[in-house]
Amino acid sequence: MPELHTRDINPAELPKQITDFVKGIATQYPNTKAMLIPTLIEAQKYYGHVSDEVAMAIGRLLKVPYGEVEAVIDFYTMILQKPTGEYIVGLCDTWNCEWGGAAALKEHFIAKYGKGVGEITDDGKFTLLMVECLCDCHNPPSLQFLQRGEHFTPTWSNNLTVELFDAILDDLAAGRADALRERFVRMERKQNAPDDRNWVWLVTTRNQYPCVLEGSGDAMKVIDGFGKFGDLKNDNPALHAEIAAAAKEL
Amino acid sequence: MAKGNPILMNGIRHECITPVSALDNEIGIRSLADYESKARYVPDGKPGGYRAIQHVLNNMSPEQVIDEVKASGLRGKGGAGFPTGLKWSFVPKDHLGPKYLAINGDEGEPGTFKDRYIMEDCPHRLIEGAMIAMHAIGAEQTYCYIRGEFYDSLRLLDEAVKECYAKGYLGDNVFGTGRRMHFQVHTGAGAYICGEETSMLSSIEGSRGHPKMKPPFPAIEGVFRKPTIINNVESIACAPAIIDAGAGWFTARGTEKSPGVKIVSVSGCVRNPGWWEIEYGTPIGVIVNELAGGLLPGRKLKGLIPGGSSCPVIKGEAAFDVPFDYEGCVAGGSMLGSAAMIVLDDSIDMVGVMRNFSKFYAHESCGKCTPCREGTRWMLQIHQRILDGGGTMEDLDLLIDIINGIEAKSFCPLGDAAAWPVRSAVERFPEDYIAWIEKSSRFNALKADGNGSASPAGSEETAGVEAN
Ligand SMILES: Cc1cc2nc3c(=O)[nH]c(=O)nc-3n(C[C@H](O)[C@H](O)[C@H](O)COP(=O)(O)O)c2cc1C
Ligand code: SF4
Ligand code: FES
Repeated sequence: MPELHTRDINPAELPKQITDFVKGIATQYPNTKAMLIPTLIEAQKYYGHVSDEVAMAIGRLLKVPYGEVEAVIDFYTMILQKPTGEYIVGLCDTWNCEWGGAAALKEHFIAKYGKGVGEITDDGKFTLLMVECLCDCHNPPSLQFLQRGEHFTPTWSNNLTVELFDAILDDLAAGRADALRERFVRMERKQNAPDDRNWVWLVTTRNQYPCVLEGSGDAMKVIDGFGKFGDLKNDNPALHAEIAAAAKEL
Repeated sequence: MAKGNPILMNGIRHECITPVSALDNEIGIRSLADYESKARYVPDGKPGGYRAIQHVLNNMSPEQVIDEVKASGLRGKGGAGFPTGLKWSFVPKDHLGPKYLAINGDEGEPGTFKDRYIMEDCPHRLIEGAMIAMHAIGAEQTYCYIRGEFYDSLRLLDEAVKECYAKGYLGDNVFGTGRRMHFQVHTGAGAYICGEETSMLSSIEGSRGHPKMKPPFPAIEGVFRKPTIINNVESIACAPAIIDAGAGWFTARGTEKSPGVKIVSVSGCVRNPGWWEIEYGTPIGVIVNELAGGLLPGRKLKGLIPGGSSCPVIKGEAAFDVPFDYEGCVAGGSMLGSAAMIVLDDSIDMVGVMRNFSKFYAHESCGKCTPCREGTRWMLQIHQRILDGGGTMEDLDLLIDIINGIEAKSFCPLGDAAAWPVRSAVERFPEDYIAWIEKSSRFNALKADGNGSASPAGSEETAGVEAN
């Protein structure tokens, strides 16, 4: 016979991160139930997922019956009931991203690790989740790496090719600190340039920047086209070297 | 349309063609100090940050604010285009006790990417707009409901709110006027339906995101059963500009019935997808060809969805002539929706697109009512069956039959949103469906029996759906 629940957690035993969170927002709401979803999300940041015991303790803390807490957890897709790998790979496969090649990334992940959607890879590093439109549809496929830890740290990544995706996964698995750092993807001439300077799109693993190329040869500089942020803020020398090389080829 | 070179706004393919846009100069301003010191568009050119709200608190009654917003013709940017000033005036003035402002930042409509940039790149404008709205409706508390996946928006807006609390711009004594104004960023947890206004209120209350019956309308009985005004992020972010520059600034732009500016997000088969703030009434062709760089080389426009995946597909190049405003899009056979333009060229198979959309709605249906819960799933199954080579001609009738059962019969507009694009695809692009069906073994087997298109829709086909 399965156990109904393993162990009750006294709400007082909940970690300070969660109780402080509730204290911090309590004045903004007329009742405690309204804090349920934000608190569950905070608990998930702390534990990585929301187990039955934690759900029960949060229910007690906020005076919400356990049945209602479970009903909420069931409804919202972001509240995870099972543990995940260290990184959650949230891949969008709504139309723009499907068109942009999400399926290839998904297939690659499954072939590489022999694990399906929602499973943890053998090294404990990754869980692939398919999500609906992340509203970043202009650079498909869209993908969000979420690193578990005291907070979920998100890194967006767009326009990924299978090769780049593979390299990022390997770097993350090897624990390379700069695994999610921006990398160069390609450079292309900008259509509809706003003026007659040398406009290009600089596409990286993270985004696409409209830039201006200035100078030539070794003195070639790539600058942020808007002039609002000064030079491209990026202290990544490898990226700059690649940009310079690509600019010369253009 | 005020044409000219795109005014470039920020790093991420943000460009703006209006010479002075409602958001210009503020994109990229995240800190309070910058927001206050850098000029936004104001007639006298002085720095504008938090000037509008101070002017409102000191010189304008709530009625005057509502009248100004009404005069500007501002229409809600979240989908329905309801006049914002009129909405604000629905809050009962004699109501005792709390009233609320709930800002809808649950951006989730496939193809839309605009609210997140406001929340991330000019959070203070949103806060200032919320304060103006709170003054107008007599509320002391704002909840800004942000989609859970937007970790960055949640964090950056929250930081901006904390800055305001620290400086006394928010709190129990706003700008020393004795007014109370509070602002709470509230996270969602991954449910598209929570963008529907009454579901959003259910979610803020800590429940499953199920829509609520209207009436009572939220302006009378909303969150925590108190009067609540719900507005989209972009609508609220327009308020400071209306106060600063006056209603006339808005009405001088756009069309008579759709005044002002609107952020349009363009995705799909174009060379330069991105978002721009345009004047209402700009022809779709200008948006696609001049801003979004046009179609890929050698391609032709097959269809275009002007307002996100919930809107019907306009067929062919006629779409280019449609003026991009609420009335124009309706006359063109679709809707402006959330202004999320999805461009489909002649390499795209409409059945595949609709399979994907149906998958989205089947996944996001909240399950409260039967037509939508079951209908979206059937639409997905039929599309999948057609793509798997098991379609028959009756599937077209069957799809329309199911759509008739969803449309206007669902509890909330998500059902309609799921049905409309599929109806437009079946009715306007039947050739795509027929091409798949003619290749299908099931169709050919039936045809060999002399039964190719004659079997009555219903019995046998529905059985097929269930077995699938
Ligand atoms: C299924 C569904 C999803 C919606 N999603 C959103 C959304 O993500 N953001 C939004 O602002 N409005 C959304 N809406 C529209 C809201 O219900 C509401 O009309 C809007 O927030 C009102 O604000 P406005 O008057 O400023 O446009 C959605 C509506 C439906 C039916
Ligand atoms: S139409 Fe769909 S989303 Fe709306 S209440 Fe019914 S099941 Fe829920
Ligand atoms: S379709 Fe993938 S982010 Fe919108």
